[in-house]
Amino acid sequence: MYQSDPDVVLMLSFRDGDEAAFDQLFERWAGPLLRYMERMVGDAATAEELVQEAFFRVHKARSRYEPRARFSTWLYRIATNLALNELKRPRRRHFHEEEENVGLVSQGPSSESEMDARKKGTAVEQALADLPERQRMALWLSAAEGHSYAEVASVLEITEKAVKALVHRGRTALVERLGSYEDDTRTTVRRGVA
Amino acid sequence: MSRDRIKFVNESEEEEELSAFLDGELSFKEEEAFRIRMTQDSALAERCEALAEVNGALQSMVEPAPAPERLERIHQALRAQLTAEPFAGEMEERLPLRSAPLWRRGTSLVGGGAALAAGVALYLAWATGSGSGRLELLPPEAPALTQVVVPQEEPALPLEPVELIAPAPVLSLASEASEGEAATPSETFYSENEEEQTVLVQAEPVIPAAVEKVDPVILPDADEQLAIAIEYEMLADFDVISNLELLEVLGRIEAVESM
Repeated sequence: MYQSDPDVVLMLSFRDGDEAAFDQLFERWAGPLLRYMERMVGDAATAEELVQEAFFRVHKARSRYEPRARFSTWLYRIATNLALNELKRPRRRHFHEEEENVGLVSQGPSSESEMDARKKGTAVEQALADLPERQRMALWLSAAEGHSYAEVASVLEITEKAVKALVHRGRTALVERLGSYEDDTRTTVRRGVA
Repeated sequence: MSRDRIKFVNESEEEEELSAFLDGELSFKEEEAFRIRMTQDSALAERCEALAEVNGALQSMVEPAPAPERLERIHQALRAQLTAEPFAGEMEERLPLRSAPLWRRGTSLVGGGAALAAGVALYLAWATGSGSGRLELLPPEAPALTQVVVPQEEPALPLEPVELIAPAPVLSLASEASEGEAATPSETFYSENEEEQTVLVQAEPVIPAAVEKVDPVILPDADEQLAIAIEYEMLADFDVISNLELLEVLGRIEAVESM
């Protein structure tokens, strides 16, 4: 069923001894996975470690690999479990301490509209970081990365109905956060004009 | 169920439908029906617009790809990990990656444990009278034994004949490559270099006149070794068989020491 997934084809080649196929999988998925891990654990260095660990496990599991889902679903499930374990660790630094670490908005001189966009981007990141971890994961995978609810359900090992609820709750919370952010911005602008 | 509760559930389901609509999770028919409802319900349409904005903001966060040098760094670290931990992947679950002392690694421990076990076995063989002439008794002041790594090619120092002062159950087992000779002591306790041979040897060539000047090198006793192992979580990182082997080796050392 999943044999048409090009990543599954690569993984099967790797299982059969083609080491270059593993490098191709890394090349295709390390970037998106790193972004996902950064959003989940909020620390760039930890995210890098977890991506490394996820691919390490993929490498070592090759002899047992059977295509029961898309490759990306399997990879994200491994990474999600690693991230959830990491989030349970008590010595983990607080998410918000790392936001400048993860910030995706580039720094440097820019126009007013670019600065507004940057501020809004930071507000979205902050709001996303404040969501409960499973809401954050479900919303990111679905709304940002375009995974289907079925895939997200498989990654998070929950039902599709639960994914639907998580995604909606997360999205609503973000709308409320951003709504209050925009209200604050409007108030600040009005004060500045007055 | 009260009317308010029914209203809440219906609204909640409608809201979830809205998210599903935005995520393309509705069937064609459901999607069409939802579009028609939005044309008739301006509040629903506004709500949909607000939620769609969030989608746009999230998708914009995906755009900047991570820097290639970061990905390259991860790739190199991964390759190094795969080279350094050839057996680790056989385990279903592993602890998160973290640095470990060299001697904590499985390959080294098994090698070290085997060498210790071999030493104990040879001693027991000697003690029961079936040993070869290569085992010698050393004076009690002689330096204690330490485990060292002897490269096969390395020329060894000649071992001078030892005058026996008093019998003491201390081992002196020379490598097969340098029978009757002692090797230069090394501080290496465990090594990953499989080309080298791990043996138990006398730490210094024993010359009776010099015995009193040599500070003995004291190995940690069995309890101390166990405490070190536990402190470094060694036992937690190995499978049951390895743990049992380790405990058995430690127990046998203790038994020998108490003789």
